[in-house]
Parts: sequence; structure tokens; C-alpha cells
Amino acid sequence: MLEWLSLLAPAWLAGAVLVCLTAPLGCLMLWRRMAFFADTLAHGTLLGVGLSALLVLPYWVGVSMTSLLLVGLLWVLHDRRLPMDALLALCASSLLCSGLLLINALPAVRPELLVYLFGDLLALQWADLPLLVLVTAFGLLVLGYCWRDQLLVAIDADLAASSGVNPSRQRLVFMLLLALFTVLALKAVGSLLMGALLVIPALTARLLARSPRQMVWWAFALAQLGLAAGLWGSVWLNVSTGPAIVLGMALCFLVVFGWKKLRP
Amino acid sequence: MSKPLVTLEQISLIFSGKKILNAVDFAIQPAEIVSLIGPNGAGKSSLVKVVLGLQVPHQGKRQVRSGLKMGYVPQRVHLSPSLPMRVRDLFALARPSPAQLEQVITEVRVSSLLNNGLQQLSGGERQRVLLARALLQKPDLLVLDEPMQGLDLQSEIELYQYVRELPKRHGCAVLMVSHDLQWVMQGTQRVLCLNQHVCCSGTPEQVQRAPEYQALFGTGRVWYEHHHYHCQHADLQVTDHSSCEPAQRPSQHQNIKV
Repeated sequence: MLEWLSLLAPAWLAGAVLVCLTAPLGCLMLWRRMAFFADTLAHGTLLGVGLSALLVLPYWVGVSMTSLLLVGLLWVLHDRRLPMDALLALCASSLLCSGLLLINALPAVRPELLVYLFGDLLALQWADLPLLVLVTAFGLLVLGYCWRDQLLVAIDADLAASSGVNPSRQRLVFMLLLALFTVLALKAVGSLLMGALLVIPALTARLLARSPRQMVWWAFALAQLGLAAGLWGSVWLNVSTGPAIVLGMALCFLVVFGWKKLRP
Repeated sequence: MSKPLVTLEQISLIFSGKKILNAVDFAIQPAEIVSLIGPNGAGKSSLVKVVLGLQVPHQGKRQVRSGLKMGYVPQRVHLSPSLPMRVRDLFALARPSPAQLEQVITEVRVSSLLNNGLQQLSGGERQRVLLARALLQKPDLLVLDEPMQGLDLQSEIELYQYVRELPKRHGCAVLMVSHDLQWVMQGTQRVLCLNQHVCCSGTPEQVQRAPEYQALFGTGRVWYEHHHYHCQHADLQVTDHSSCEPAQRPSQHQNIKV
């Protein structure tokens, strides 16, 4: 048990730090009906990984570039007639496909790039932690600074604008924060699981919360629970960590959902 | 006269080739109540959005007194069902002092609703909550876009009474889109009659005497009729009035209010 703990500790701590950011971001994502956005970003990162490999750059450079490209793309594509979720689906599939084609076209076969699909939390070292903590703290600081404005925009953009909030600017801040999180978490949780990490705890929290603040705290607690359950479950059952964590969170959702339905 | 809170000069708004607003001039003074009337599709909500700065006009100039605070009670809010929010959480976003909160929620009579979720409110309750939220921001200008939707007769009378006292109580000016000509003529100092352009404006008495107004709303009657073809546009063409028969009048415009 104890030797396992020392092995899992960096991963567990890294996950716990990441969850500090996923809880508020995931809630905002749900409130602003942008649940697809994280998926789109995450799928797009594959293109970034491919680009980095092609140009022999650190992976985060390419990923940051594609994230910014996507934010810019959505900025330009904004149109009241076209629903956001459909636009996101368009971007997600286009970026994913270009990423796949690019990786296929790389001169040498690079199977290790597929790590970025599912990520590997256990590969994180103690040395990775300081940067992770620093960037997460920065993200939280920005989020804390504009939380009230973000909430107002989530309620109603016109209402927010009449109170002196600039909805477009807040939308940009939100997308950039998600992009930051994507770059930060890609190696740990992977392109395919990132969306789940954001959405599932927030979704579960919605069933329990009566106020925005409560929802964020519930999302935080549930994500930590899912993370711990997934980590230890993966050791116990000898399965991959990332999918185990996502399933741990999904299990939390099922339990809460069932409990809420059985005793209304 | 003191400096206007908001001044609009020659504002035009064009969407897909259609002129929604045409060379509209408008100004609102501090602590003044102005009613905005006009048939459906006259551009009332669009004008309100231009006043609030939510919509940038395609032509014309909008000037705002520096440091102006605005409160807005929209016709509808599209609240996401995934956002858990009680009335008290909404109010907290305006960061009121406890005393101010107490005063406003007592005045607007929403004290009993504080712990209710926003999604569970009835139409009338929601309007009152939105009004309270707007007042908590201590606005210099309060903009109400058809606030009486979903209100029963009693609440409507109370709300009108309350709005009438707002300039005295809170020192704010009120711009209100209304379909209730009874209120418009008795409760406001100035009326702006809109049909893409400003048909007529002035005190209720002046407006009632204006031929444009009489063409739009009939003479001396308090009900609302959609005779907007009579409004003297250059492109006047339709003279079929059968659609304006009282039997087809939308029910919310019936003149049952006394």
C-alpha cells in the first residue's frame, strides 16, 4: 500500500491540482452551453502534437498554437444564425482529421504520439509539479478576477452588457482559459478524456447544487473523489489510469443521479 | 435643462436590407419618465438596445453622459437550466449593501422569493426580480422593455404605481416600452411614438393630438390598434384594413383595464 502511495503520489497530486481548475471551468462551460468546446479544443490538440513533431518543437508550442488558432476560428465564425455546438462539431472534426492526416504523413512512424490521445497521468514526475501549480494558480487568479462578469454573461449576455460587462471580451477570456487548461492537461489526461474531466463532475454537481458557488464546490469534491477512485481502482484492477478516472467520475454521476431519482 | 443621460442623433439600423430604425433622434433627461409606443415590429426593442449600447447603430451617433449607470429589465431572459441560481444569488452579483438590498426587496416585494430558484419563478415574479436586480445597480436610467408581460391586473397596477414613483425614490429616469396607452397617457411625462422613424413625440397631450398618433392608435380611444399602415411613410401602399378588425386584436391588448 505504502509503496504504491509513493508511486502514485506525484500523479495523484498533479490530478488534484488540475481539478482545482476543472471544477470552475467545467461549471462555466455547462452554464454557457459550451460543453463541446473542451472536446473541440482537445481534439484539435492532436493537430498541434503533429505539428510539433513535424517541426521538432516541444509539444506544448504546437498545442498552444492550434488552441489559439481554434479560438481565433470560433471568434471569426461567430454568427447568431449558426448554433455554437454545430460550429464546434465542425471545428472538432476538421481539426481531428487534419491532425490524423498529419501524423500519418510524418516521415517516421511515431507510435508514442498516441500517448496524447489518452494521456498518462502516471508518467508525471515530481519535477513537473511546480510548473503545474504555477499555471493552475494563474488560471484560478484570472478566473477569480472575472468570475462575477463570467456569471453575468452566463445568465444573459444582454443583461450583462447593460451592467457594463463586455460579453465578447468575457467569451475570449473563457476560451483562452480553456485553451490554457488544454495545454496544461494534455500530457496528463490526453485528448480524448479531457472533455470528460471537465463535464462529468460539473454535470453531477448540477444535481446537488442550488447556487453557482455550491455547484463549483460540489464539482471540485466530486472530481477529487472520482480521481482518487480512478487512481486506486486502476492499481487494484491493473487497468489504464485515464479511462479509470473518467469511469470513476461517471460512476459518481450514476450514483448521484440514481439517488436523486429514487428519493426526489 | 440639465445634460441628457443619453442622446441619440439620426440613428439608423439596417438588418438584411430592411430598415429597422430610420434617422431616430432621442434624448432622455435625468429623472424623467419616457414611454416608447408603436406597433409590433416598429423597432421599439431595437431602439431600446441602441439606447443601452447593446446594439451598435449602423448610422448615427449615440452619446452617453460619463459615468452613466443603466438598469435593464428585458422582455425575456434565456436562462440556462444548467445554471443553479436563486434569487438571492442573482442579487448578490450586484454587490448591494445589506441596507440597500433590504430596501429594494421590500419595495419591489420580492423578499419571500429570495430562496427560490430563478427557473421556478412565475412570469410576474420573474419580472419583479429582474426589476429589483436592475434597481440594485443604482441606475441613473432604468430601461423597461414591456415589463407587464405575464402580470395579473393587480400586480400590473402596483408595478405602474411603483414605476411612477421611481424618479422621486431612486432619482432615476425611466424609459419604458409599453402597450398600455392608459398608462402611457397618465403615468409618463413624455411619449415617443415609433414606427421605424419617430412618428411623433412630446407630452401625452401633444402626442394625443398629433395626427400621426391618431392614425396609429385612433382618436381618444385607449385601446391599441394596428393601423400602422396609416402612418405617413413615403412607401405607403397597403390599404387593406381587414386585418385590423377588433376581433383579431391580440388578447393582451384588450381594453379591459380601467
